Amino acid sequence: MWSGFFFDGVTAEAKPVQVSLTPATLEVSGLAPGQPASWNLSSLQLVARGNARMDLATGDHPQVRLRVDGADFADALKAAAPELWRPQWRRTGRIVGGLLAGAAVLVAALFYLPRVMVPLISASYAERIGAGVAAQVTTLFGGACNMLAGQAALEELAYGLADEAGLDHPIVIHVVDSRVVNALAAPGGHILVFDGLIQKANSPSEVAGVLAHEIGHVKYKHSLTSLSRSIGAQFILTSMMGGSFGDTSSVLLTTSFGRAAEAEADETAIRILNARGISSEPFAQFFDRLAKGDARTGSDKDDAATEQSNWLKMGNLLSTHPPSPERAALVREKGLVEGTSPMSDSEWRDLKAICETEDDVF
Amino acid sequence: METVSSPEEEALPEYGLEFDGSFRGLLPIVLVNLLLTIITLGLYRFWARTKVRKYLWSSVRLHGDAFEYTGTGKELFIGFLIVLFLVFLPMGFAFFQAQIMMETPGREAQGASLLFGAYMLMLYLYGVAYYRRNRYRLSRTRWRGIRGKQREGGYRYGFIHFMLTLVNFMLLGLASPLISNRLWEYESNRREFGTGRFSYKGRAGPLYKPFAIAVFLSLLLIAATVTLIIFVIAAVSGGGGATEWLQQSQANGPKGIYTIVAALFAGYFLVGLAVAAPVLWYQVRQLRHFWGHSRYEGFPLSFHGRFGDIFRLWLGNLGIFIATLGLGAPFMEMRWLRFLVEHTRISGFPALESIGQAEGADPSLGEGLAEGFDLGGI
Repeated sequence: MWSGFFFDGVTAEAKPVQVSLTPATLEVSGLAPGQPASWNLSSLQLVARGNARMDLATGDHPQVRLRVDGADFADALKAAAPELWRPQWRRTGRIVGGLLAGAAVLVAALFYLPRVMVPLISASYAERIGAGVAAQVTTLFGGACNMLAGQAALEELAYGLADEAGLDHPIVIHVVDSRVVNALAAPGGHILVFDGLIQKANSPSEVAGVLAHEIGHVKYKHSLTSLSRSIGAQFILTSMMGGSFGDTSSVLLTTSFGRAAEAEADETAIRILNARGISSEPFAQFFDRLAKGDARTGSDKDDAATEQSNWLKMGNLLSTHPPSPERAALVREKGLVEGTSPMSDSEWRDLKAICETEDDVF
Repeated sequence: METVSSPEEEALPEYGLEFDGSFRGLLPIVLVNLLLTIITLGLYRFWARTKVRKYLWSSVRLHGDAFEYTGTGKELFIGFLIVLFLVFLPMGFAFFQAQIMMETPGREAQGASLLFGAYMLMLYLYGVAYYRRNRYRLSRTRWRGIRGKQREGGYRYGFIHFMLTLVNFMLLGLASPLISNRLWEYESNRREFGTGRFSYKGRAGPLYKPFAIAVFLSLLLIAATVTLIIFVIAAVSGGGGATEWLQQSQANGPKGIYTIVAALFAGYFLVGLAVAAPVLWYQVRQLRHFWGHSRYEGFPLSFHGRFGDIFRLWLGNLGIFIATLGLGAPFMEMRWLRFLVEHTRISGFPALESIGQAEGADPSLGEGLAEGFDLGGI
């Protein structure tokens, strides 16, 4: 027998009681009629353990509580109901298992999300998303280049290539004043070419190859797919880990569209180049040079370039378009070896000079 | 049990809360939680938090009887999911949409208004989240089987908080004591434990003197710290001053950039350290004022913490934070709870048989919004 206090859950008043243990129950004596005198040990819950006293609850009567005094009561209860002290691994295991299953379902949903989302996005909305992304990336990387002659030469080349691709909407070409060697396709037909790439290119055919590749991405809406997948991933990660939602525009710079998407874009590029009579060999060579690494951020070793390259490596063509021997082989196998130049010499000079002014025209 | 029937009687005995939680008692809970949270990529955190709360609540005793936390991880998780899909997903879309509109020629103004509206809505929801978090916790707190209760759902509180915050913003923060006093009053006068009611009758006036002193001391200490930093930079750069030091460091390449970043971080840290003392001093004054004018069923409450106590608490928590890279947060929460619990007292106590069970249903969910705002705490 131990002495204790019973709380009926109706008022905060303590009622002194006597407590005893049987093999299956805890018996409370001194209660008014109608109050629970016999508590199943299997329904017991430990509320708190103090110095020489215990606070107990029972699942059968959620409002009532019992406090039992005496240092030896804990030992007696432990002997009668050892499961009260055992960690509830089975329950914890169920929770963890359920959470992991839920997380797996979310990841699977994430993979299929773009297939559902992308067809639902209208061309005009995609165009607006692309314009926003293009503006943000351009600002992030040092502004736009818009020498009119160079822009005209580039657009003439790009529009011609786009015609061959059979797009259902026009493309928009942006040139970014940055030494980073990169080009990327934003949603809605917005294509960004970094000046680093134009400067690194040895011939107009190389630029044509890169443009044709990006037009391939535009044709298959790879950018929208990637964007919706990234936003979904960010959303899921945020809900898992906690934290706030981040900026979505830089997502395109860091994620590759995936091996299958790159192959699709390559095939389209070769088809377009062939139709225009442009050689694919320079395009293949360009990827060879990228793979060797000499084209990373330009060979100039001046301070600005190194400083930029330190933290802009993420914006590198190498990271977003992983070169592989198979891709170069495919380009060489299916593309023309000889071809005509897609630009006149004067147009090529204008293109090379597209960023050679500080007075941006707005 | 000694009880006093009426608050009007003279020389009421003082009762305090006891705290018997320990580092050793909490450690196994924290370690298992950490492991399971990592395994589940963070999703277990709702159950982890519940376990920590159960331990902390049960470590607080009044008249020898422990408090009890009856919330569950499932409630927190479901509340969070609902808010995630009904509030944060649409909000995320609104921010995304506003970004795009602001880059679209001709729709910049629309985009800016959408962004502004979204931020205003966030500010409003922040107050709601705070109130609902406290409401949920109180409803899941029991003592002798009797539970706490916070009246109202928090939408009106959110609106008052929103309006006052805007006013305070326009007054450059000068209305801060007035606003915290008003918000504390609003919350306190709707707080109950069982059938017993809390009430608050304090004015903001007495807070203004310590507030002015704290602001003055903060500015003075910031100025002194910045001056000290400038002198150190001058000494390091050989008398050249900050511009020269920046140029020298930049010329050193990446190593120099890291030096600048480290120095900036150290500078922020020093300024934070300097401001901590006046801020904590004001905080403890405010706690004494708030609890000192609060009553439970007419019996006066009081808070007896001092600046030395809160400063030691803060320094210790800073140490725990740095040593555990933030993973020791439950220990920091435990130290806070201990500080609040051990310094709060009540003069006299209502007759226990007069405190009945709280009426009305518990809120079924409650902390989802707070989780979204990272207001979580323990």
